[in-house]
Amino acid sequence: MSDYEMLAESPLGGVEIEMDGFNITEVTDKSLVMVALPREKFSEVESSIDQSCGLKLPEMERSTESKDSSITLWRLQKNQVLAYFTYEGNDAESHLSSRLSAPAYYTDQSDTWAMIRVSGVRSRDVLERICPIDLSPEVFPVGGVSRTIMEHIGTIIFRDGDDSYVLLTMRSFGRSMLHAIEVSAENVL
Amino acid sequence: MSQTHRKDGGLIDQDKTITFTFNGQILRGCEGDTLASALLANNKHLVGRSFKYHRPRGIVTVGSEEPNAIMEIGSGAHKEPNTRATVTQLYNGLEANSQNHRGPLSFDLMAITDFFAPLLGAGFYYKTFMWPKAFWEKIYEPAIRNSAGLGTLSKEPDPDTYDKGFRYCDILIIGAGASGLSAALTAASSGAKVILADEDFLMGGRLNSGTAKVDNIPGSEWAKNAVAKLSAMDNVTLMSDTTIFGVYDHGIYGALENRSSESREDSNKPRQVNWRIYAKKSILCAGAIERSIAFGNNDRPGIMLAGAVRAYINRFAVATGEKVSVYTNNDDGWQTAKDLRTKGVRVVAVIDSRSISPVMPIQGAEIFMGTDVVDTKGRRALKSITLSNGKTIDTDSLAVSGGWNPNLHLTCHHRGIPKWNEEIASFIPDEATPPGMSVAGRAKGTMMLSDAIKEGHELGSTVASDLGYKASDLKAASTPAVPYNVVANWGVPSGKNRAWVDFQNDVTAKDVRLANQEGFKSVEHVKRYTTLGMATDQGKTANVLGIGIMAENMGQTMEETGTTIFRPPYSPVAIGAFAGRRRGMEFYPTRYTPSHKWSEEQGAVFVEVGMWYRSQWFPQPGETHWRQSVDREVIKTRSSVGICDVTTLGKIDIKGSDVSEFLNKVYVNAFAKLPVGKTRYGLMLREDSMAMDDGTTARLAEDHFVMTTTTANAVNVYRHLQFCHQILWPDLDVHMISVTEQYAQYAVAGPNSRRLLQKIVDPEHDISNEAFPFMGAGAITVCGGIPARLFRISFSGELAYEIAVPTRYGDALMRAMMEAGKEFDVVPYGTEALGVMRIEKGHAAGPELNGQTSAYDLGMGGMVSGKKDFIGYKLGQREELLRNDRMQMVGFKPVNKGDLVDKGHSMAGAHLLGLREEATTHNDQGWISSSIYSPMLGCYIGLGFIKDGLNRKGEFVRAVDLVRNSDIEVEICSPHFYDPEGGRLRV
Repeated sequence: MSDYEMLAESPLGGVEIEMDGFNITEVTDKSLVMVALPREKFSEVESSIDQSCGLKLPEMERSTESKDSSITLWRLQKNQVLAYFTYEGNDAESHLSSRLSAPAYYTDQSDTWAMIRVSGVRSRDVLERICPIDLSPEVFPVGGVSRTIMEHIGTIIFRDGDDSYVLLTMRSFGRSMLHAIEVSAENVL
Repeated sequence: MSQTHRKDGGLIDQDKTITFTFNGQILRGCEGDTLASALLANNKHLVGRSFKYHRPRGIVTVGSEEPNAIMEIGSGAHKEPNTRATVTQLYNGLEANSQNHRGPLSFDLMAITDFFAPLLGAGFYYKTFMWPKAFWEKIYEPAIRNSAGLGTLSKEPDPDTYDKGFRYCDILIIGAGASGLSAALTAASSGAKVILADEDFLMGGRLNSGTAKVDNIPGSEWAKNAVAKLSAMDNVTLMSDTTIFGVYDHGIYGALENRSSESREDSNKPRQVNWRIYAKKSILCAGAIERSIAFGNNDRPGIMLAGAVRAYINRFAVATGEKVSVYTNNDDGWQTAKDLRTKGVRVVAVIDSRSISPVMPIQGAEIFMGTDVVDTKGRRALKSITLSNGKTIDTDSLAVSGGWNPNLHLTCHHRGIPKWNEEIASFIPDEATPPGMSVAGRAKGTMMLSDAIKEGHELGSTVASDLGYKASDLKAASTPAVPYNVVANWGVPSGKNRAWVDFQNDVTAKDVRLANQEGFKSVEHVKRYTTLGMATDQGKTANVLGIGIMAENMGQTMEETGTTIFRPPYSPVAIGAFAGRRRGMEFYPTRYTPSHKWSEEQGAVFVEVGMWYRSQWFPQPGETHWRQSVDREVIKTRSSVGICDVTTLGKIDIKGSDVSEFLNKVYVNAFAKLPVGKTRYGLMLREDSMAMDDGTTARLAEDHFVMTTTTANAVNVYRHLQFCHQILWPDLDVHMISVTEQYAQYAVAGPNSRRLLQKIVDPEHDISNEAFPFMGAGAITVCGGIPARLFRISFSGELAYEIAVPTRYGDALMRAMMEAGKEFDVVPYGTEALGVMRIEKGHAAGPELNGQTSAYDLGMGGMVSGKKDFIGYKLGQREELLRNDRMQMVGFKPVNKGDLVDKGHSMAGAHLLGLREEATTHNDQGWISSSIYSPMLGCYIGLGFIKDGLNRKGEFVRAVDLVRNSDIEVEICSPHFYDPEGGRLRV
């Protein structure tokens, strides 16, 4: 028993903002682990993940989701997938590696990113003020994921619903990113 | 009597009255008016004074090409100069003031310059104000500055906000007139994603300013219906009041959307939005701009372009005069006379310079064919014109048409060169347009409305099908064919009367002739010498006229003379719109460390390090000077324990079966045999062998390393490693990812650092000196199972560790350690104390790794491996880099301990010279790169580079700072001022 109690903090304190046709919520129930695919082991990793979770490796800028929706894999780089999964504990790396059972390299990224979900019928109207990539539904389908820069902040954007996107920025930029989204909403709505 | 010149009808709402002021006078207009149309409705023709000669000037056009009616709109911080009244939508409370006069507009004291006109011709400033030389700075320049310039700024920060945006489409249609709307209808019918933009707040182009019938209904109504149809389509975005100002690379267009009516209602809304539009294809339907004719005194208030006079009567129901005359060289000018008559306005004369039969009957007007206007009278308002046949005509409004220029600006943004078309006597677009762009309608030189509509209609369908979409089978709108015939007329000799070409910059036909005479033969030179086309209107109504005059002067063709280069923006864009949100705290993002909240509670002083806020020092009550805080933090850390947030330093996690080989190639020293659980200092070079970055790299497992970098180079090093991995050695099994943000990391330094940590590290982890020696590294847990990493490394030179936890616990860990450290009198320390301690210890950092120093220069030659190749090895073999008398890093301390103490500044930046040498660059032997006051030594010390430094320890030289005026004697010594043996590190 330690003398010191350590409380975990999420990057944005669990912020939740409701506006007209547009909502901003911090995602706090997901963890992130980078899964690096060793050279010459791609197919081995692929079949292990298929066996353990029924998941295929996604195409570039796409994702695949496990049947129970607890794990999503994002492909942003040829030799890496970013695993986005439901877990809030301190051992994301070992938790994921035991679920995937694949001979890959795992590196925890759960604390690296601030995750903000923007949703609602007006989400694309708001995002077009800061998002330089094409968000038209035909071009960026549900399950699509991409990297871009929004207001000088490197951002990963993942479409997790018809009118719902999760934006990830490095944790230290979280406040600036939230502000950029809020200003966009104020300007547009 | 209000609005004396307002007629019935028009496309305005005469039931909605708007009140505004002009030069303090309260006036009325209607909703749908521009400021210009409202002024004309009130018979206000005099709207400003010209730039150079302060001549009275009036409104000339009805569009963004306006040269004269530029005014200051708004007051206080909202005041915006040089705003064109012709495109300013009228609103309640609009305050407008004319520009460029001293004293009232009607009696400008500066008009005296008009009398000196013979001395102030083109290029006069190259020939005058030269003598006496002494007068330039004190007399001429201030006088010129005082009288020069157009409009005044409020000098207050812009209170409005601006925004940016990004839109994608298949087809961008630029201009929503007849051809643009036709193109949009067919293109949109195919399902293609269409953006239709128009700079006017009312779409329809010249359909709104004329009376042509389209599909048997008034053109303006047809336009309105087309707009309604398009706005109901999901695949169409309409952007009115939006200027496409630039054609950039890769199908990117700059668009400025004016949202000022919204921001007037709600000051939180942006006034303008600067859009970046990504279009696969574009169709330019920008129409044409009318040009004038150069004749004597052609600049009086009341002399306007004929198309504008027509627009004012048709769209705005405003008669520009009570006895209007028309002077034209083409058929279109007659249309103005006809429309004026239809609205019951008296037309006194139509003067056509062509020797042909009259184009159409104009009731009540005298017709003069083959005749020109040669002079005018009426300084503040037109009174009469004189014709080439000697006749004088009483008139208060002269509508001039010299022909129509296709508005091809945007086709030339990629250095296109327009071609002269003899048939329409105008320039038309080059075949080579910017990639993806086609042109339709008048912008292409297709002057007849019926042809323009057909062209737009067909092009909309063709362009859509190029993209794989099939347009519906629609019929093009129909309109009677009205021919456009023109004979070029650049002007008539005006004798001693001045014939104006560029109204805004006050350039005359004589100025152009003068330039040619003085040897300026290129149109680009004539532009700069005369300033024709260089004002805020960029000569939209003047350039072609100027080229025509030049061609005549030089006996050249129009094609030979050519046009000047067209560049974005098409019309002026406020700097604020380019800045967007980049103001104040949003200039760039702010990055906060995990201990920021806690530090704020302590009243820490913060410093910007790149985008990070880092604690610089933590003042205690009673401390009034930063040195007190910093000296205290150093002394207390070195005597007991201190904690510093070092999260910002780059941390890169590297895994793979070939990692150690990879590290061997990027570092000068060996890493392959580093045992698991150990850290090693590494130096990284650039290919040219200059030091790039340094850090410590720990091995946590056989195939797992964590590298650290300096804060400033975190991103650079990561990029460098990715380059090496992807390009140089793609066969190595290496995977890396930044974990800078994944872990909150704190330096815990001082003789009591271990004791402090033992209170928070869980008991199953032995961190005694024996179990966890200097340079050890490993995973541990703290505070009851929280995963952490511990590294025993020291930047300060004390017994020290760096402890890392997942950032979610960063704030909690700081608080826990401060609590645990209470019994040891723990102090938080900031970047200043951090810097003091590393300099006392002699560690190189950013100022020493400045891109000019090699490993040997830094005194790290011993680290360089002779057994392996690494980045920087080859070029490090260059002769100059192998010399042993290069500028090498050593320490410097003042011979007199008290030197600089009373001055209160360090030696940083000082240059090193011999004891008796003159302070010149020739005698320069080196420089001080880092310098601080050392609380431990009780004096200022410095690290620096001096020629052959390693062999000169004990020598005396001077540190000379000419900026801060100090010159002191210093002794060359070891850079390791404090604990040189390193004993304190290893306890």
